[in-house]
Amino acid sequence: MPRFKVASWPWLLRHELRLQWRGIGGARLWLVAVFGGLLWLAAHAAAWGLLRGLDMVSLPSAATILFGAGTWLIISLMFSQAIILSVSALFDRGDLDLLLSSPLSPRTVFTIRGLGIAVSCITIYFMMVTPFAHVGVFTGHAKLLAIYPAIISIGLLVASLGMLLTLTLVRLIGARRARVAAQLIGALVGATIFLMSQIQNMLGRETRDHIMATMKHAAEPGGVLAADSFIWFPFRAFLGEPVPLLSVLILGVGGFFLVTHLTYKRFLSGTQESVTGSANKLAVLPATTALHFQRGRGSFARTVLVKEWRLIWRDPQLIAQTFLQMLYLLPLVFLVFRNSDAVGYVLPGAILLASTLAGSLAWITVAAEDAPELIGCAPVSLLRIRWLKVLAALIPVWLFVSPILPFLLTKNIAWAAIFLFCLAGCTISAGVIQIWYPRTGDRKNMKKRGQGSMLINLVEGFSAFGWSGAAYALMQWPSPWAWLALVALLFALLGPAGAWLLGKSRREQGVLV
Amino acid sequence: MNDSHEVSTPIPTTFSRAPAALAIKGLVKHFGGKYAVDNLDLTIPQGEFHALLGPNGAGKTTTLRIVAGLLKADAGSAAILGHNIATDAIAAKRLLAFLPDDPLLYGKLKPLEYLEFVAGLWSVDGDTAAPRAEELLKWLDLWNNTNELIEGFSRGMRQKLALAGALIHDPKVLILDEPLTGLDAAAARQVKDLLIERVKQGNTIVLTTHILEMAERLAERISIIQKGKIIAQGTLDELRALASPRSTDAAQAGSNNGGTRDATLEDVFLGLTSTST
Repeated sequence: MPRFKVASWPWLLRHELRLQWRGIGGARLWLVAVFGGLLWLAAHAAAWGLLRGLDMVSLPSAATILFGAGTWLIISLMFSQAIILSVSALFDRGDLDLLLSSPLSPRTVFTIRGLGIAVSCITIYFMMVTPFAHVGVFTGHAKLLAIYPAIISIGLLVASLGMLLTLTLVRLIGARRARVAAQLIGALVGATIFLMSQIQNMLGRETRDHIMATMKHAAEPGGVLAADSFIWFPFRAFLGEPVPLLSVLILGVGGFFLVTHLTYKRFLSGTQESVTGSANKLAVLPATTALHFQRGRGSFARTVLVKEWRLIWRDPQLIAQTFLQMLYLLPLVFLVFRNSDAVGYVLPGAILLASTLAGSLAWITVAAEDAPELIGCAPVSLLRIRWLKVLAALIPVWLFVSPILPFLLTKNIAWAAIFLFCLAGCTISAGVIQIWYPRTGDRKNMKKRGQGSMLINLVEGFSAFGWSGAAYALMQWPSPWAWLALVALLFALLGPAGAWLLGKSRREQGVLV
Repeated sequence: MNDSHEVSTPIPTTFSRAPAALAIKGLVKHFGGKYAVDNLDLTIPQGEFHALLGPNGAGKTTTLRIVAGLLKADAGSAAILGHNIATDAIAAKRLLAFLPDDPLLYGKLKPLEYLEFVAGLWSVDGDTAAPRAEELLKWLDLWNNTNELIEGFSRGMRQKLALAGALIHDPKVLILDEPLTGLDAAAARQVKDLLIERVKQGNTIVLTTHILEMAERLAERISIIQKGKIIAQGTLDELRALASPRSTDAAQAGSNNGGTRDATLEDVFLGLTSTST
């Protein structure tokens, strides 16, 4: 690690990046670094192959549009990441109390946080595009060295926009709601890119043709999407064109300077708000003075189900993370209603997604129990509570995919039966895995749920793909290939069986919930 | 060498034939090669306010977690009012409430919803639980916060709500691990009064605390645990007597009163734990 003067900007930035990168790689950061380095070297070979056959001086219009659109895709992904990182910088206190109570200027702290966000946003893309700059020097395209200032400026710009959006949300709706809203927006930006990539499948042929014709027209010389349009400035800045490069530099560096210098006070008040009374005030829900205890001896099952659903329903962040998976189901649903021939692919896809969703929700209700000690002390069989928790997870999944059933019934009753059989199988398997392989988790860190046991992740995957494959094979009946369903079912049942074997010692140790 | 200084305190005759509120025999628990609880015996009669003291890492919390059914013992047994926690867990848990030192609550629930859920776990019907919840929340000054989500609560408010949860099903035996953590002076007084009231009603309280003054004032008997074993047990006077002949020097390191009749629990505790190391 290089030594910097204490409390200097590079010193603070190093501290910031160290925290962020350790969060990514954990103890295996060196492995991530080595792997990343190797990929970066390999990218040079790819850049060599591409640049050798390309005349960068007179790049075809189609190529400019294609790469220009690719650059916007990258910027969108960076923006999505910037929003999420801004929320973290503002609300995940970490060392913020320490930094703000030190003699450092709050403006410096905010600026460094912003730089940290910018660096984190561009790291991956920096590694993707800088090989082109290096190779460009040796292939007669030295102008491609402009990639360096361009990508850094874009990083600064998206970081500024991410911070600005987060702070605006804080001003408009308060710290607590802003956090949730910003996380949702960040996640949705990422999901939208996926949905746009699926637009071909989602739209009918006529609509698709109409859109293509409009885009072709816009791409003609003088049009909005023409190769010389300002729309493609980010990509053209990479190519070293003076005006686009200057524009990107001014926007990036200037924007970052303005945002950090004009909004740091808002940042300060936002961080205060995120931990002080306003959280309490905003947590106040519509008043209900009446006690809502169920009269008489209520159903124990109802008590558990209601509690689980309340906890999920009131956690928009959790819903966003979990139900984004449902968003990915949308293209499949469009396929169902657009072309019935596609059911052969949609049905297994729906089973796969239902299985994944059931696994996530069952993990939330069973493994990510907030008060395991309370549950452990209760005079009720733990197994009974766990099954009820699984039921609380599965009911929303069943409800969500149920609209597919009437459609299948109108097409083919056998398919509907296959769907029901595989849906029940895959969701129950997902729940059983959580029961037979008891583990504890933190619902705030749902994204990290896969970091536990590699084997159990594999087992969950076997189950999901097994049920999906079984659905596909069964739909081929009476083709001889339908017998492959037995093989797929064997894989599907490997899931619960694996969880039973892998979780034996955990169950004996008495992991609480 | 046996470091135990157990004193057999006469059990009140009214309870002598009744099963002990808590009976622990030969309890063993080890993590890896390290013994957290090492052949521990402890009997607490019904209606007693008992303090379990010990230095950090002595095995207090592990013992209580085994008693609460949260950990399985490697050997030995623990019974609540005659119900073995390992073999008759449901019956034992029905009579017990356990309040951990850092109680985990549901941030996205409101206080009444939390109490409703806890009452449901213990099968307390709504007609009984509702007024009890109201009474507890009012008593603990949380009634004005019933429309807020728990995630907005301070550490002290969470602690009080967890205590309300522990009391909602009217347990016969209440096990509290550092119950005053995070409470301000007024709230701490409220909680102490509440606990005294519970004991007056015939319930049993077992608590661990590092606030020795609290144990000194509230507990009828005190057990001192070190390295997973009970090294001394009795009333404060009995512990003073145990400490005085053997540990005057050590106790004097902490206070000039060591070994005298006026020695505080702190002096006695330091004396006993230092001579046993």
